[in-house]
Amino acid sequence: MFLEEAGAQFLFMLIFVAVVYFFIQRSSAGTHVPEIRKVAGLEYIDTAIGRATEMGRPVHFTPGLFGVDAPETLASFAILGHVARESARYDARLIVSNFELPVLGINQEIVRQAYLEAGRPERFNPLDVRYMSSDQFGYAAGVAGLLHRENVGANIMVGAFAAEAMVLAESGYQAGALQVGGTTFIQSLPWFIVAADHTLIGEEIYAAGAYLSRDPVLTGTIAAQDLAKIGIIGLVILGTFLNTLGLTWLETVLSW
Amino acid sequence: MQWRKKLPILITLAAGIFVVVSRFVKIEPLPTLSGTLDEWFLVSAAFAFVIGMANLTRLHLLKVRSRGKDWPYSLVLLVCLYGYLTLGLTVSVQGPAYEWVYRNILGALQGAMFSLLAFFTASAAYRAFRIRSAEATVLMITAAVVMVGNIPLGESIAGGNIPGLAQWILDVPNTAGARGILLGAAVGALATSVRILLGLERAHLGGPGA
Amino acid sequence: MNILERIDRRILYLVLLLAVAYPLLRPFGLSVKPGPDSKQVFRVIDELPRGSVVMVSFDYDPAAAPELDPMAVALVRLLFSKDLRIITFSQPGWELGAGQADRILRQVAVEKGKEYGTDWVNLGWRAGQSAVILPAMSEDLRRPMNGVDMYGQPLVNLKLMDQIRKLSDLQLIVGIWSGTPGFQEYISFVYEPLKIPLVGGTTAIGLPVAKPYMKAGQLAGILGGMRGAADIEVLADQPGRALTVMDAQSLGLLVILGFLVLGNIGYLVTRWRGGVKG
Repeated sequence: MFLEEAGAQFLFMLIFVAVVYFFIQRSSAGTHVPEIRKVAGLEYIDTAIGRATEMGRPVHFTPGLFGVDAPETLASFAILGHVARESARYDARLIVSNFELPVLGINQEIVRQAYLEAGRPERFNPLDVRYMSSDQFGYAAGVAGLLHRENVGANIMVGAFAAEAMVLAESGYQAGALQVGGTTFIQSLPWFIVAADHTLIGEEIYAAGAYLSRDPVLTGTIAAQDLAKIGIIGLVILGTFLNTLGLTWLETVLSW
Repeated sequence: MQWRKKLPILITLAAGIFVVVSRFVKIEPLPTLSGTLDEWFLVSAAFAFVIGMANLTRLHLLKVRSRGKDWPYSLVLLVCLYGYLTLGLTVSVQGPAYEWVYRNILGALQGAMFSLLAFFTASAAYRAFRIRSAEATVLMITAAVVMVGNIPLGESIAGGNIPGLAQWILDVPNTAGARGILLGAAVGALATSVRILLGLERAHLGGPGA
Repeated sequence: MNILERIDRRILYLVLLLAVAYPLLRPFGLSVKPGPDSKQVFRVIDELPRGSVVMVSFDYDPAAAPELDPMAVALVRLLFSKDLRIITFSQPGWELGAGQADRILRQVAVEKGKEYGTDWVNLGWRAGQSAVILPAMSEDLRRPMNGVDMYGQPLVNLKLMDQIRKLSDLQLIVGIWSGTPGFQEYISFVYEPLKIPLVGGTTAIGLPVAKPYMKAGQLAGILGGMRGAADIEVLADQPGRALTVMDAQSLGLLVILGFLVLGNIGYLVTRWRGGVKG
């Protein structure tokens, strides 16, 4: 009836949701929540858009390869929202290349909304939020060509990326764009680190929505996230210690 | 909040809770319903293909018509897109003609793009791996050790110590770092999911980030 | 500006191309000494009793085929020469993987005199989400595949499928993974609930990601890229394509290393002359 050996997983999830809820209540009630540290990569997004505008070159955004079922893509929506608002504010041209079709529709809405909010709905060109290809390297080839042809000035890559990250980041570098890369995919991080100006590593992309919006409720959930991480670190240390002593009860409890 | 805004959040919440519960609780009809939900997802994603094709076609037709910059490439794209589609529909995806195009054109192109990684990695490494700082030096030495340790020549250099060191780098510091990132990312993903289920993050609904 | 610091990337690309192409045309036959991870994969397969049924998951497409085909061939050869029987499958998202499986299994089956239906079956590919399909396959293999194999034949007509009703009837799962979905899905939805041993191989860039899972015991063994394939060819004593490609890989990596050294010499010279601070 109940999935075997998943009791601890289920319990951990419930505890986590409870902690998040607690922090949301706290921040809604106006109680102090810790501030988020400065994230250089997120700060640099604004700089890159500003510089691209000064040079009269377009801004490019890619949400990576995955669909709406990937948490990285969900995180990319919040960042695209910010990039679109900044681009609309500066009246810079924004191009978004999409891999997944449902993501294309969502991204068109996000960008349209941003231009509308900035009072420039006529500046939104639906064809600038475009479908590229649903083939990994077809997509990479398409974006690499676009970065050169459109003479992109700022290239923001945040989402789920795999091996094509190197093609995207190196092409952006060769096109002379200022670049920010961000992903949780360990195999793609080295490419961004060597070829982009700033890299958002792992969970930093998930904090972006809260960080960029400065919304206290969202910031509260980041605090909950950190608390959960401290809990995990505690468990790891305790587990290592107990296992070294030959005690396996924690393992038994966790595989309940 | 208006219903127009509330409804998508309620649907998200209901579908999200349902999928989470059906992962843990194995009582019928939960597993069957979860399969049905997956099929709905497939059908809606298939419809999205039509939107994608329309988007591509419009973009590139406009370019060809207006003889915009590099318009012949757009023409190639349109010919390939509709040509391959016609081939699949007329001679079936199991047919030899479709197979021939797949192996000799698609496979070759994909492989060629993948192999670009070697060249791009080389130029990026050449540019980035300078001993400017202590960190950059560590990065360069580590990369060099792992590269040499992975090739047969590595065994004949330095008395066979390099492959062992490369293995240690992969097994110990790499694994430790990777675990840290994986755990952090997993917690981050969970928190993002909770925020979306509770309707706190609504960027995907076309609204602002928060 | 020092010339060594600013070598045109096109020169680098040309030298790299020559370094990779030459050994492919004239291999020098460098000897390969298998690493501990590859030995582990070999041991897991070697210890299986004859006649066991193994699932091979082809989770890659033609893009990664140049790197992963030699590994798939080496593993399938090893499995068949140990008289193990094979069911192939590709996870959602790898629709082109089923075609890779078809081509490789046909080739090796002819080599080893194996028959379709009794020694191997290709389940093909299933659209959807691994999170749904893999748990469904754990309950019943036929239902998620709509009761047919890749070629549309009913699974009830295939002898091998008589004994294999669900994933837990398998003795081992071998994956060839080039991304997502890949081993993480098998760990979450198959290994963790059912504890069926899981081994396999990834592209070289996927290896650092797989390492933590291997150290945690969730992957019983993992091969990395062309080197992993070459190791299996040596261990199984069945030399193949991976061993010839190792020469090209060796020379290619040496060229990259050479350029790293040149770049740093250039950098040091500039700094020594006082051109660059810090």
